[in-house]
Amino acid sequence: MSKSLFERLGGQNAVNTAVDIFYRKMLTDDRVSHFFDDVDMEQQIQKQKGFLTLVFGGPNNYKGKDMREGHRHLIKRGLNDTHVDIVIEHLGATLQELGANQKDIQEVAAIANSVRDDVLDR
Amino acid sequence: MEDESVLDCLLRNKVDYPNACRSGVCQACLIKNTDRPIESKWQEGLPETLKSQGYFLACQAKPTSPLYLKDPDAAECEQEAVITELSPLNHNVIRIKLLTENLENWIPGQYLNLMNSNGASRSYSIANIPAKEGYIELHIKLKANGVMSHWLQKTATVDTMVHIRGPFGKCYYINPDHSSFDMLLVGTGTGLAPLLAIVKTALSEQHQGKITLIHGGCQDNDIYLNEELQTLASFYDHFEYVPCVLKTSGLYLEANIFNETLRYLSSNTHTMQVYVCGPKETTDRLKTKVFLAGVSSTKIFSDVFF
Repeated sequence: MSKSLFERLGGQNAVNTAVDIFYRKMLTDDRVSHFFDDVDMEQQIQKQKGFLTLVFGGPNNYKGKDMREGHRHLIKRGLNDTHVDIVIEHLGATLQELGANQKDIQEVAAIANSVRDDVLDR
Repeated sequence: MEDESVLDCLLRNKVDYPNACRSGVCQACLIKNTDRPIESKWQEGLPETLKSQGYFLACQAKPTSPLYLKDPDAAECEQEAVITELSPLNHNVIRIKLLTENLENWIPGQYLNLMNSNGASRSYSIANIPAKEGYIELHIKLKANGVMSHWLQKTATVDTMVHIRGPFGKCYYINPDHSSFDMLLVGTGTGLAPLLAIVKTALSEQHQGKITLIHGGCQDNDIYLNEELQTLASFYDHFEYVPCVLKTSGLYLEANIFNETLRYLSSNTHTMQVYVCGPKETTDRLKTKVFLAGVSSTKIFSDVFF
């Protein structure tokens, strides 16, 4: 029986391992780090875990509405397509570090892209 | 109902339980049960310190047999305590010792709500090991127009009765596997209180690994318990105490805690545990700094003072 994307990537354990790697990449990238000024990294890690679970194809109940509301305040601060591209870039790099194959990485990128319009409230 | 989560059951019965993502991520639906071990699937993402107390996520729990629930706020003990000591630690911090029952429930590093005879209630951290020492110790910073501060200075004396509720918080020493790892504890002002409790607990449990405590103040007279901590450091080879102030008058090292923290991060940041206590801006900055330096997000614990 073939495994789902989430299972192939390693399920919840993969999310837990990936989140530190992914979030550190975001915090050290000047192009996006300013969106995380003055945040409590503990709370952010929780949100990033939710995001990773979503794009890894894991179980989630996020609705488009949640993505819109969650990012609205960032749109005011200039969040745009470039930043979404950067997130997808770091997602890919993180997965490569964890040994995921190209096909799976592309599937993850596709899921991330599928919520682009929600994140940017379009 | 079958296959219904605890959260859905509560909502269905018109209990307005806090919730948001319903995906096991945001932790808004935190709830507690102490009658039986909780399935680890229901505790995904929670720090060890909450897991061990029986906390779990209502949206993830689908029990197959009856489960008795406690709202986290109501779950903790409320009991009477009597003040047995009130003494100054420095120009604006006092030490309070409380005598009360069931000392083993009051965990070093957690905090409690203290309510006085006028009904005023404030949160303070447990600064010692109550079960071992026979009392609960609190460090309280006196505020110029503070209601509790005023009561403590004008009304409270030895033998005054108070009510305490708790304990709360996820900042305490936890090492069930007796693993060896380095610990870094950083705090400002009375942030020392929970950190001191954690240091004492670690030492008493023969913790293997280096323990470093950094206590920051604005000026020399903000530092307290300096002698006691120097003595402790002289007894234990693996415990280092670093007091520092922003503006020195000659007594203590002039340095800020952000730089000192980075200096004392050991080379094995990956296994290190870091505890951070103080005002929100300070703890947020410290947590981010140590995280970027390589400390795992699961090993960063904080207690924010408001």
